[in-house]
Order: sequence, then structure tokens, then C-alpha cells
Amino acid sequence: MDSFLQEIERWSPNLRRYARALTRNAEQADDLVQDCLERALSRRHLWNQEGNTRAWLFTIMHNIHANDTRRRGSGPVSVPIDDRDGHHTRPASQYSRMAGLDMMAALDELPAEQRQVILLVALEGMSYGEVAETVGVAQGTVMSRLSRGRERLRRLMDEGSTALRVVK
Amino acid sequence: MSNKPIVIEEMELHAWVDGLLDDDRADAVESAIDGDAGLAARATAYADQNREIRNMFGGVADEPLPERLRAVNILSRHTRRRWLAPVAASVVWLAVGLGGGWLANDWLGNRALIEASQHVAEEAVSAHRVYAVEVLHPVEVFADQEAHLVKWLSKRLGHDIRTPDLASLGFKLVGGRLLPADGGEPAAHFMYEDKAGRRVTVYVSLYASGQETAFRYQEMQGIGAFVWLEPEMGYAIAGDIPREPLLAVSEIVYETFEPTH
Repeated sequence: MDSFLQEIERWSPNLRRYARALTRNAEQADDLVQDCLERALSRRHLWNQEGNTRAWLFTIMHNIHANDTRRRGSGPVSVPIDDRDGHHTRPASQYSRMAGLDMMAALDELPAEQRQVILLVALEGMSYGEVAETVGVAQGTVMSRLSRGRERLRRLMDEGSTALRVVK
Repeated sequence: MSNKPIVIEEMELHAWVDGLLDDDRADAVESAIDGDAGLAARATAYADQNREIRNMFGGVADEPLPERLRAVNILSRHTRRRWLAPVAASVVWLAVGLGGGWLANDWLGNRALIEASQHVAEEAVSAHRVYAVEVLHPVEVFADQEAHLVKWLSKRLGHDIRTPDLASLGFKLVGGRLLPADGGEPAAHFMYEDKAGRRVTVYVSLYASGQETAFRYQEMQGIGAFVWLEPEMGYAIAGDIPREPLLAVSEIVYETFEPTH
């Protein structure tokens, strides 16, 4: 296998992880990854061996996702009932699981641009410069999205726990 | 001195949480957090956010990659889809198929590969039909500059390109040219001529099918072509000559390009 294919396969699991976080749906996520890989494989001539292959691949996927979302309308991507059902039926004793689902709900409340930046930093451990390259905006924009997004998440999750206490 | 509040930038707090800060500034952020409960709460919350997000999705990257997402599998499907896309081209090939141009010899099954080699053959036959009739400009670089031609095309294709020696079959190199292949990849095209003025062309393109195939023969609008694939390249020999001599040409070309030679 040549180095181009090796690089693509190397980053495929990372693409899958980010796609899952973006779409929240395994099938939809893998479709997105497949579209991304197909496009990347057909653009071998644009691949720069010395460049940042991860950022290149993530940019491709990011653009496809942005187009898909735009086509479907400006709202957030819908999540099938099946996937969200667990949220209601899972025993309350599974604290960490509950916390995670709260986090999911909070992420849903964020504007897509803030959510993407937060996910790329948290999941990929990308530097802010790499995120800027991937998303196609200035580094300062990445920073302000990160800052506003995280603060909003924090407030949303604080409110969530307050609400929970009130219910009890 | 120690009571003086330490000033840090908003982004330094985030960079510290993300482990992106150098030691000096990380120390400053830690001191600032020590002296400011609000800052400490934010830092903790942001770090928790990162951890929770990793807990939720991190495992996905450790799952085995589904077959449909493996690059090699996508490539073989991709070549098929790319081939099927233009309707006009499909019609041409349907006509070829009906005309009995295809010999179903040792080709059992792999449709994607058949379509991939059809694709390479089509490009080679197109190039042959366009350039073989040229009197003044059959090639871009003539055989008197063969060394330059080989070096140039090798550089453009990123592969070791050679000019096969077909003298034993009575064919002399006329020259060669660079061609655009499908997908914007460069292809090399060599032309040979015998004493009777009959021409055969050798078409070598970057075509990543990831697989090898045997020779396959077809005829299209009076032009015969032998085609075969290597994992990263496609080869096709086209000519308006009978099948047997064309096969002899193809065998020499194959031996010329075989990596072990």
C-alpha cells in the first residue's frame, strides 16, 4: 500500500470519531466518513505529502457536513427517537452516563460553529491553529468560538443540575 | 510582590486546560487560578467538558473500521462509480459489449476491475484515435529526444516510465506526449510506427485500483486494445493492427514495465 492510502487509513478512525460526535448517529456518521474518504481518494493530486494530512481530511469532512446541514435546513441535525430514548430509560443510578447525556443535550444547544471547535479540541487534541486550518477561519475566531462555547456549555450544565435538584 | 494579582489572558486559561501552553505561562495560569475561585471553577468546568466529550465519543476511534470505510474498498467501488457516471460513455460500452468485443476469458466476476480496465482502455483508444492519424504533430516530443522524454514523463507521473523497445516487431518509436487522464492525473502516451506506416500507441496512466489484472482485449471502432492494471497504474496498448501482433507488442511493454525487471 502506498503512503497516500496509509495516511488515509491512519486517520480514518479519527474521522469516524469526530463524525459520530457531529451527527450522533452511527449510520449517518459512517456515511459522512465514506463521503469524505471518497472525495479525498479522488483528489490524490491535491494531497500534499509534506502537509498536514489530518487537517486536510478533516477540512474535507467539515465541508461535506456543512453542505449537508445547509441542504437540510439551518436547524440542528435531527436525532432519531431510538438514539435518544436511552436518555429516559437508563437507570438514574448510572451517574456518569447521566452526566454524559446531559453533556450531549448541552452540546445540542450550541451553535454548530462553537460545537465543532469544542469537539475538535477535545477529541482530536488539535492546536487552535490546526482547528483554524480545518474549519477555514482565523485563529482568533477559533478562540472566541471556543471561549463562548465553553462558557455557554458550563452555564447550560449548571442550569441542568439546578433543574434536577428542583425536581427532587 | 506575591500579593499582586497575576493577569492572564482569557485564551491562556483555555490553552492551559488543553495542555497547549508553554511552562512559563502555565505557571502563571496556575498561580492565577490559585488566587481566584471563579477562575478555578471555570478551569475545572472546561477540563470536565473535555473529559466528558472524550468519554462519550473516544471509544469510536478504537472500534475496528467497517469494511465499507476501508480506503482500498472505496477505491474499487469508486472506479466503478466514476465509470458508470457518464451515460454517454455507458452507451458506447454497451455497443462494444453487444458487438462481442469482450472476450470473457480468464475474467471471472470482479466487475469493479473490469469496469476500471474498460475505463483505461477507453482513454487509450481515444488518445490513439486522436493522435495516430496526425502527420505533422503525432507527438509532443520526438524520438530524437528520447532521454528527455523519458525523464520528463517519469517526473510528471512520479513513476519510472520507460520506452519499450519494439524493434524486434518492426516498430520504431516516434515519440511521446503527456496526456490528461480522468481525475486530473497525468498519463504518458508513446507512439510507435512500422515501415508500412502502421501505428501502435502505449498508454500509461496513474490509476489506483489497488489490484493487478491479467491482459484483456477489446476492439472499439476498429481499434484493438490490450489493457491491464497494476495496483497504482493502468496500461493499455492500442493499434489498428491484428490481435496477434498487438499481443506481441503488449507482452514486450508488460515486460518493460514489470517492477522485477
